[in-house]
Amino acid sequence: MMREVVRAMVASIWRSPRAWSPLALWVTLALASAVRERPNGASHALLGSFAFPLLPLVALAVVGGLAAGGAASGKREGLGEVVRGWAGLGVARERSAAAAIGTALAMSAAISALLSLATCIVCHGPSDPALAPDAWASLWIGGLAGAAYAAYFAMPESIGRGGLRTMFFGADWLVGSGTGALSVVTPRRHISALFGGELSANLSQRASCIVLVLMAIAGGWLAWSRARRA
Amino acid sequence: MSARARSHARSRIERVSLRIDQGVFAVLGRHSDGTTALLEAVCGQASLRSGAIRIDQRDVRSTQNRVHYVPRRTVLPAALRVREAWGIAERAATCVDAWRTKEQGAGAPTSAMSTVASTRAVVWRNFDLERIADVPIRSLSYAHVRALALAVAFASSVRVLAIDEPFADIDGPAVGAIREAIGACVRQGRIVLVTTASVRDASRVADNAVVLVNGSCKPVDWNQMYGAQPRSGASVTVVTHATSSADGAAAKFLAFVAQHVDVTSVRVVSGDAAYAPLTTPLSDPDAPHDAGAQRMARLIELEGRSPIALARAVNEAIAQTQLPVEAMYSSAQTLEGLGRELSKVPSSPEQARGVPVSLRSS
Repeated sequence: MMREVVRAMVASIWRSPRAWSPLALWVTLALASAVRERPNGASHALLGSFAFPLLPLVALAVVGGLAAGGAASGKREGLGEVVRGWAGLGVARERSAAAAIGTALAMSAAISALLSLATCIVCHGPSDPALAPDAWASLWIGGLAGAAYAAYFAMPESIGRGGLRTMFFGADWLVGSGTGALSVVTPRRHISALFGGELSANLSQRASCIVLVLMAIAGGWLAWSRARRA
Repeated sequence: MSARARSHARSRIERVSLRIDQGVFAVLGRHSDGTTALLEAVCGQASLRSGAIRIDQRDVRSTQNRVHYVPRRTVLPAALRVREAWGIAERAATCVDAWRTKEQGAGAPTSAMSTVASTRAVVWRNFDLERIADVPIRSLSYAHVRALALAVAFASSVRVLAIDEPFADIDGPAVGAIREAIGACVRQGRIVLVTTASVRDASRVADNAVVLVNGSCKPVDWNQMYGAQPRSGASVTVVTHATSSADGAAAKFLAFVAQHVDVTSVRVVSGDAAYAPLTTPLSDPDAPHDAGAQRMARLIELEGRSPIALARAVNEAIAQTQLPVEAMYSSAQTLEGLGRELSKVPSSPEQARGVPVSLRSS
């Protein structure tokens, strides 16, 4: 049952230009940015515009695309609307909410991981570590970042208010630009730390990795819990 | 039970107590009277402030697979084609079947499953879904989306269907399919709970009804709803064309009604006299005046002691004989009138105590 629902949810994104066009835009920009940053090396490229704002924008586009593709009405009313639509077909709300959040996290993680890998390979220079371990690290960090951002943006999307998404994006931008204690609460600084940037509140890279995993789990659960009751 | 709807902040119910054993149960009222809160509570979505809802003696919050809710604002995944949506709905229904089989143990389900499968095929055919099978839901008219949502509900195998305004925003041909599907659900021993603001819609399908007035539940019988008098009963008036082609249908119509219900009085008036009392409701100020067409009207007024039986027989007769009906009027009260009348009646002690809602299928 879940397999059919997930397949239909993914298909609904590709069938709706309103859902996939923002995603296509950010993916193209990320690839273009990688080509542009090629002379500066992979570390510089990943820490630059890729980590912010392109990575969160890709995650936002995936989550928003899922909501827009699955929305029943012309208006985009968040993941709750998607769950209501599937409930109309007799799919249990818990299942459809889990399928929607799971699909968002998995798609965002996969696309971010591939973009991260592509950026690493395209921009790899002599000053970077050996390609194989660097590519592997880029792959899993990109995947983790994509999942964490998808969960982070799924929370406002499950409430269904358009302004909240912008607020969450703004909060990540503002709070995550510093390295103080507040930077712990949004994904941006942790992802930068994993890509080799400044640490978040002096937490180790391992701690940042754990925080991102927890963010993905907690954000996903909160979004699921809200969306199933929509 | 007291509850407040999630989707309509103004929709709330206070100390409502209902017991539905089987069949079709109508709740008359508007969203603001609490119909949405009641339906959302029954399907476990509304926040209950007090009381409980039990289906087959189990709390509704632990029995999500027992209720299929069709809200007034119908929502379905827009990017899917009708056939895909139907396939997923069938798969979901199969999951419910499997869940029920597991719950009941090995036994009855084999015959029940085949009944459900044949019901799905009948519903698909009756709602004429083949014609729109390859159309994406987002390209459908709202009437089609609503018909699809209702068809999915009828084809599901859950015990309780909770439907908000089953006949609203529906194309004419689907009305018959809905009535037929509701009848099939009842024959399968399922419970259909409908909310509506129309006494006429309630009388089309419901066996019993209550009226929700400002969140409080008032029991009401059909005689009250139709303003039936002890001697003459209630009346239904049908206006048709008085053409020669309609003559045969009218004769068959009258024969069908007389055969199926105890009619106390029949009055048939043709020509100007038939049209005169109905000039106001039928006349369209923008339409070109056609005196000839007006003279073609025929008025059939029927009176019967049982208003619900009369209304149903008339509806059935119209469907069976394909009588070209121009308008139909009944003595059914408006919801406002009914609400005014019932608000004077105090709640029963049982209602005041707030006994939990209980739904039990036979």
